[in-house]
Amino acid sequence: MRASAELASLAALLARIADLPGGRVRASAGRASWARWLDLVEENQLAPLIASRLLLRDGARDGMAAPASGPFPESVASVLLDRYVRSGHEAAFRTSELLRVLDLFEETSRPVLLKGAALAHSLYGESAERPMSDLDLLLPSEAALLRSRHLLAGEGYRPDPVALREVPIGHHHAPPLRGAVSELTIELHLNLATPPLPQGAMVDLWRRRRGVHVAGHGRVYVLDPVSQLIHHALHAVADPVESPLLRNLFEVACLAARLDAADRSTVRALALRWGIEGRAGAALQLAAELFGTPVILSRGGRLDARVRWARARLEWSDSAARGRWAKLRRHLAIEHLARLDRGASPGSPGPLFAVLLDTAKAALGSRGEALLRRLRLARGVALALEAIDLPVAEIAGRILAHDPATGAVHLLDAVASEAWREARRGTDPRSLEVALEGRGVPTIAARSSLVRLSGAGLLKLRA
Amino acid sequence: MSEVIVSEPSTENDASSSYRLTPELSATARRGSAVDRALGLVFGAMAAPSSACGAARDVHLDLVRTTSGVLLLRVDGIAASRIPEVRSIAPVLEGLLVGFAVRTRTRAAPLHAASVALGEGPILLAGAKGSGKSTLALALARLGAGYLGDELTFVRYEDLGVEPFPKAATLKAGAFDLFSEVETHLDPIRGPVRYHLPVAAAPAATELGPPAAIVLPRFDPGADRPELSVLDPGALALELVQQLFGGLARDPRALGLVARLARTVAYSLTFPDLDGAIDVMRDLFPGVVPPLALASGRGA
Repeated sequence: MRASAELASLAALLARIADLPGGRVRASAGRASWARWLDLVEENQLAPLIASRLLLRDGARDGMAAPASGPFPESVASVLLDRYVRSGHEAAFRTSELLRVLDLFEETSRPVLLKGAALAHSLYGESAERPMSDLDLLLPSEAALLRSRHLLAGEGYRPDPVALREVPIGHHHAPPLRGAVSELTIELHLNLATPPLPQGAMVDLWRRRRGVHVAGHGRVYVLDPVSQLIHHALHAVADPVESPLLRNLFEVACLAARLDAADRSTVRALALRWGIEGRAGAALQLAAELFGTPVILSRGGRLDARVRWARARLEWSDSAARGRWAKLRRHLAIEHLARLDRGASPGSPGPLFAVLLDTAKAALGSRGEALLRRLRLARGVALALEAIDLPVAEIAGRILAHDPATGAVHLLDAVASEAWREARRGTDPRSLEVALEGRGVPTIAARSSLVRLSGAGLLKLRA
Repeated sequence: MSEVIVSEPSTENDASSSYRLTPELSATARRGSAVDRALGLVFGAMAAPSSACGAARDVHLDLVRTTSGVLLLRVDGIAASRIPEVRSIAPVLEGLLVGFAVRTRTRAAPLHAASVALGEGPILLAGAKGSGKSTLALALARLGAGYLGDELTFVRYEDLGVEPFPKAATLKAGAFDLFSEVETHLDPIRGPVRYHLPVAAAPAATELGPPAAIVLPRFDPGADRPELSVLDPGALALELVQQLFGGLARDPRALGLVARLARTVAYSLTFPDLDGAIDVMRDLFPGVVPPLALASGRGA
């Protein structure tokens, strides 16, 4: 695998941290940039692990002003340490909350921890080393999932209205549950992948789960090592764009390295039985190239486009590059992979052009509609408008509106507030401007107010 | 990738110290341990008389050393994070437990605000990092105002009652010279910090009425003189939304709370130095009052 100097350096560092053999990565010529190296670290959420293993490994040094910066420049070391400490705060609360939630379940019906929640205490030394955005729990049946949702609702975990729209029917996890006070998200899974593994596979996985005793909390369940590797390998390239791909492949490598010959045979047998050799094999192959770990499974040609995007994405550090090209590139990758999932041709460049065209049409369409609406309002054309249903409060005669979907907060001026109230009263929407004039609002002010409210998304065209 | 942990020996007779941070959260540690000493330094005003202090949720903290000598913080027995050095124990615990308090309190909204008791009732000093609210709160406390907290104040949804969070005021290096010298600790994120716990710190269990006033301090060393202006309710509402942990999405009652709080008399205070700010506060809130007596509790 050819890689930038920064990616090659980072892969070698991770291999050293985890005692992995080291991959066959050929670094391109040129000196590595610490700035870009740090961008890749941040993109892949690796700062806490690197800080823990390379800055904090030699014991507390009482009396020293600051920990040594290790092999890094001071500016890089301070960022790594900052991320580690913040991750530690988050991890401590998340662990405490997870144990509290698990205690709600009867021990025999406890969910199986997946992904980061399971790895944090098996692959990693402490939970601070492994940031995660949510907690993933596997349940054995639809009935168990419904009971779990009810239990969690009692603890303040409700369906996330934004995520509700983004999780399609048939996805391997239900729409996420969000605790507004805890600021944690919990995803309940009935299967490990989309498209789903056969039901027989899930029954087998559940039977093979392992219990780990946690003092004061009984047993906590995780997948057995073989199933854990298969799960992580499936996921690492299922969504290579919006997840920290390098970290995910690192974890695949660590999980693969732990298996003995018998377990590797079991992986091959299960992958063949469940029809997932190609899907899981792609991640194992990439992990092998980066870290020198066993390939175990071969991949089929159908996933070439996915692997190509994954290789390219390893070099992206979009946390730093927020320009249009970075956004467009990400969008192209996501849309192309979605088409692959729907069975479109994997290798043809045609889909990329189609994606660009569709994207342009959608963007122009929605912006064009909004612009046209504002222009018509500004010209005094009476449009059938109605107020969006939002939580509002009155503050000294003005409306304060909160849009939960976007997080936007709007404090309307007096005229806009009156327009809003008129719209909410059910005033004939084509007569809003006239109604405002009847209340003494000059025409221009009334019209301008309606234009602004429409532009802010607070008024919409009545269907 | 894991190291072997060498735990400190414990016995069944080890007593615990408990700190009641909110009606819904307490933190415990083995009495006399390094964690207990750090908790006492930061959260001493919240020390509970017994380990069973009635909070809905308890988190137990302890420190162990690994075989390579690394200090490892454990939360409820689970390894959470390493601590770079002994001087970082208190700042790390501070950051950790402030986060716990914010993310477990369900019946009150957490505001990024210091608070003191002056005149008619609690005064909120709301603002972002660097606004000078901690320094101003500590200075007012030294002049006899009741100290209610320097960074986090809870306001109950039901009745806008203020709940103190009187952890020790955390001063950063720029403010060290303004107060007496005490031990310096090292926060891996904020740098050198010092902790001052005023004598007039109200116990955390104190229940107070709604804020009598809200001040938005803005430290501006380039300003010629202190400037005070009255804040209209709309501007106050927007500022309160900014200073509400989790924003309006945190609770459906948050919008109503902001709207009601926005009726509180409010000021924006820009000041170039602490003395000027104190003079303005004295003019605004004449006289100082003794620390508030503990009211009978109503529970969480």
